[in-house]
Amino acid sequence: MPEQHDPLDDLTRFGAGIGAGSGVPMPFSAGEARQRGDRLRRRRRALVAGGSALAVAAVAVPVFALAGGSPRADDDRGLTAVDPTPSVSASVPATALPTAVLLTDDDTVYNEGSDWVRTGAYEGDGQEPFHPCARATLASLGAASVVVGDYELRSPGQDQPARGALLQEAVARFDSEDAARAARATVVGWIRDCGEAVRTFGATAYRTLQTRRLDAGAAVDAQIIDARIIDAQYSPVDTSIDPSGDSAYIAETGVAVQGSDLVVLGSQVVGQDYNFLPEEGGTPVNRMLPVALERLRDSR
Amino acid sequence: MDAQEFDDFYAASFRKVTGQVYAMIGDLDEAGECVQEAFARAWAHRRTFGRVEHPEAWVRTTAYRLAVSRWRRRKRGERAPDRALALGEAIAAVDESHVALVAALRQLPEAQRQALVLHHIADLPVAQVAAEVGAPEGTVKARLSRGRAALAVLLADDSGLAGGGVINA
Repeated sequence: MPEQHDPLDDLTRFGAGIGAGSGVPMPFSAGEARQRGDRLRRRRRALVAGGSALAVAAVAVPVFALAGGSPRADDDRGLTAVDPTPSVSASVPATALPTAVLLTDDDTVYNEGSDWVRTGAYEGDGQEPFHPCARATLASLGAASVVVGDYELRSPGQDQPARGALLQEAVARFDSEDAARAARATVVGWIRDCGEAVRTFGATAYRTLQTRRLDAGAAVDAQIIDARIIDAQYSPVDTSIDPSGDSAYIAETGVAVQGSDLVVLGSQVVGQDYNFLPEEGGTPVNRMLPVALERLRDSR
Repeated sequence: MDAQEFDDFYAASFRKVTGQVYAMIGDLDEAGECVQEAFARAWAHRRTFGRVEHPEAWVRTTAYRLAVSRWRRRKRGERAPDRALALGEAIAAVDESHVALVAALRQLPEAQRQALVLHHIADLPVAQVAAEVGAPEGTVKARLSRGRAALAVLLADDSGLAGGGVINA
């Protein structure tokens, strides 16, 4: 049996030496770091400039929704408690979120065979709920600006999107971080107590499985971002989608506050299992939420 | 944060944070690159960064996560590692005793290694370690205890130092 070693001695020596910087070369200069940072900043500004043009084009969409022809109206998931007043106004305030902050088809992931495809990007809450569990609009929670994206799940060789599957991203900008956190608490409460809402799907059994932190390896600015993912299941699935009755709706929702912005990224699929290995990046929402936050951060 | 403040912060922290990240990931070159990239991002977001309560912890966390992210990308083979900050010269090898300790640390589970480095090398109190890794204090204490015990065995048994790298496997 090997002789026991006190590792604290080694750690202490390391800490006093290289761990404190002694003996570590410094091949870069602070100026180089600033130059690289300035390049990143210019790239970010270019993205925002491009996003502004997209935002102007997107203003027309909620007007269409006001006329009763919401592009999302085909999917009759209306929740009677939702405030029907869209948050969009005729003018776009200076701090308005551009739809460019929403995930694009290049950003979305599901698995190797299927992927989420964006079907719409809107300013304002619109008339449809931003999440299956939503009981009111984000504007009614105090958001000054809201953008929402809708996505459908497509598989190669399939003419139609996967039935029962949906991905929604909502980004809301509040006046303060406290207001964003308060809204987050409300949204999380809705997701945890969603039994009534999923009855619109015909589901009668709803349960949240766990609330987990966004995988530490994925989030870069962990001290600024406060992100959680809530897993839930509900059933039964409509028999037209699952005649055997063996499947359930499997949902995961990422809820994150970054500064005074709130991001809600909710996905729902129909299946019997939901296996995504941590070493491969984890679940789709775990992989997409950091990208959504990065996009949002770059728009600042 | 203005340029002079940033330069002072960089000068005071770059080597220290690089040494700590090296202990976490076991690759000094990679640690140096990731810490440099983290500083660049700090400068790019200097308005937000100026409000961060513990800027050195921010850089350390960002650099560590960049390293993990780059390792994952390489492992998945999706694309080559980001070499936007290619080293002009290779970082010199470090002291042999440090190499042995880092080799042993690399064989520990990631959470234990991170706790040991932050508490014993970065000299952070348990509460701050818990905040940085996002785990309860009790969990951090357990990781420290298990990590110390495992490290003692590894350091006592030289044969156990071969292979097993977690980050750079």
